[in-house]
Amino acid sequence: MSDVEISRVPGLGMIALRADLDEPRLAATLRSVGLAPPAPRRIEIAGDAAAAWMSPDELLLFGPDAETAPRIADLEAALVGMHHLMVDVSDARTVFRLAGPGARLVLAKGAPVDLAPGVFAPGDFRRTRLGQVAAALWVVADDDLRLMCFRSVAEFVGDWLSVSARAAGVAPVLLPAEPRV
Amino acid sequence: MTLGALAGEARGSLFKPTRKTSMDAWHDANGAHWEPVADWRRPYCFLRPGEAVTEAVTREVLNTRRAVGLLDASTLGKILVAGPDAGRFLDLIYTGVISSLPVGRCRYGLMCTENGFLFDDGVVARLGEQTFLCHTTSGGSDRVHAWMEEWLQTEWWQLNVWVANLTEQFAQIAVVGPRSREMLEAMGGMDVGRAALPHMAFREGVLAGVPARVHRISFSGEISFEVAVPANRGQAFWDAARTAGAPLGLQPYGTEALHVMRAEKGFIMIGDETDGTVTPQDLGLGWAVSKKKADFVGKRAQERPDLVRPDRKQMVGLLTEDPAVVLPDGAHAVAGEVRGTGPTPTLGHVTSSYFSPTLGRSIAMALIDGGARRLGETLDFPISGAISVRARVVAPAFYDPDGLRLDV
Repeated sequence: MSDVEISRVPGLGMIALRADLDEPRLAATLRSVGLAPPAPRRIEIAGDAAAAWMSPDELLLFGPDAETAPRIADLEAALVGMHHLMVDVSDARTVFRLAGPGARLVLAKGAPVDLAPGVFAPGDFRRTRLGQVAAALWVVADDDLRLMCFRSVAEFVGDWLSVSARAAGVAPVLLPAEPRV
Repeated sequence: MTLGALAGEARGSLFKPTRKTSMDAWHDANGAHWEPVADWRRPYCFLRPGEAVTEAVTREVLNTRRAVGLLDASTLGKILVAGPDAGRFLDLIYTGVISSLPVGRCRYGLMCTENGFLFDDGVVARLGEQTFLCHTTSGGSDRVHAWMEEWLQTEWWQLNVWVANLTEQFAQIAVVGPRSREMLEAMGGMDVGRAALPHMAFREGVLAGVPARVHRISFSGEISFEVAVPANRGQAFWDAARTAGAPLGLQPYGTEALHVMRAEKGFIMIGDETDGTVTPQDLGLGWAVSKKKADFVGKRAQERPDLVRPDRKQMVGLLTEDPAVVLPDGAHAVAGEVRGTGPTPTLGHVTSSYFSPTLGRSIAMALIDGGARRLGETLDFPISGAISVRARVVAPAFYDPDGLRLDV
């Protein structure tokens, strides 16, 4: 058994949504499609979908790739007349899954975030840096973390994770993964 | 303390992040001679076995002008600007009028700093009544995105506008040259005819089964289509394009052929013709600066005495007396004889210089004191020791100055 399994998560649909997050209509609209509005630095995961807090006026919505277009259409219909920007960004980013007891150690080598269990807990979401690139991290379960970066640096991040795992004394196993948030 | 301890893991592939486009692996397997462009790596040219770099660039230029070329332009910045005040906001950010752009059309725009100096350029496409897509330079996407956010958050917070950086969402592939339309027609799925898609228009549809936004815009002077597809489909589109283009003589081309072709047309490149002290007017781009708008970033600065001096450095074209001689980039023109002691007064410098395969001679662009009034003058560019290159000042559009090749 290895200490961490690292894999890319394919097939994730992503929708960038910029709006006044205090608009009651926005929260109601998210709930109508089964998503809870996330608190700052949190991600609300519901089955194969999720809503992540990106900034005081931006959310990132996850879901199965095939459902992205209809979901945008539903949300747009519900938000007509409310000033917002919604756009499919499914291809802009790459998500990695790090599973196992070594996952936090591998990420802690490069991110200025306190990743201790109990401090960075399930549902926590943090935009930060990993090594030299912009990244976001979140916790699905204590030993099951996610890392997101822009697609153009995905190879760099993959290399970085391998090196970080080695430096942390963790044996990484690179796996293909299932599409889930 | 060893250097290794300081460097740590920052060596080899981890020394610095290299941004890669969707078609990077194909380029690497097909002769890409790489060059860094901001944090990206881009093919400078595609080398064939035994071919020298200059030979490849010449081949790629001529093939694009005569048949059709394929360029990976994915690194261009793409900023989505949306909201009821989007047009008003872009009228403040760009020097030209953007709000009057009809939906479905494209317009070239310039952005200046508060001091009036040009810092980015690109084509704006109006996607909808309240939605614009702003293309930026490859190195400028993050800077322009941050620039827009800063103005919206600190100065014009009353404007209802949201922006999003979509640079990574799309692969962008330019299909360029006299057979480009034929090639897209062979790919099938969209009407790309002259009536449906005139110069400076765009259409959304499907090409070869891939969702595409096709912009008919040109940085080469040839009829040209820049096709944006979802980044995950970039390689599939590239493959389909190569299949459709093969019988038409399609060849991929790199950044150097792009640079040569834009210089043949006298089109500026941010960072070559600009250095943070150059205004649009210096570059002969006054036509892209609105005289009617009440305000835009840089407007008041451009009215200051030093920015309207007639003897400012202005962009000109240069033709060397010996057409085989290519001026070195950065070469200075001197006023009079080179002095033995003390500084020799200089008039300006070469900003871009190439051997033009299309014209079979060297061409150059330069920023020269009062250049706009020097057409026809011959200038001396001392290179080294007794070697001096003489060049005639000309208008900077060397090839098809009337744009007839676009009108098809």
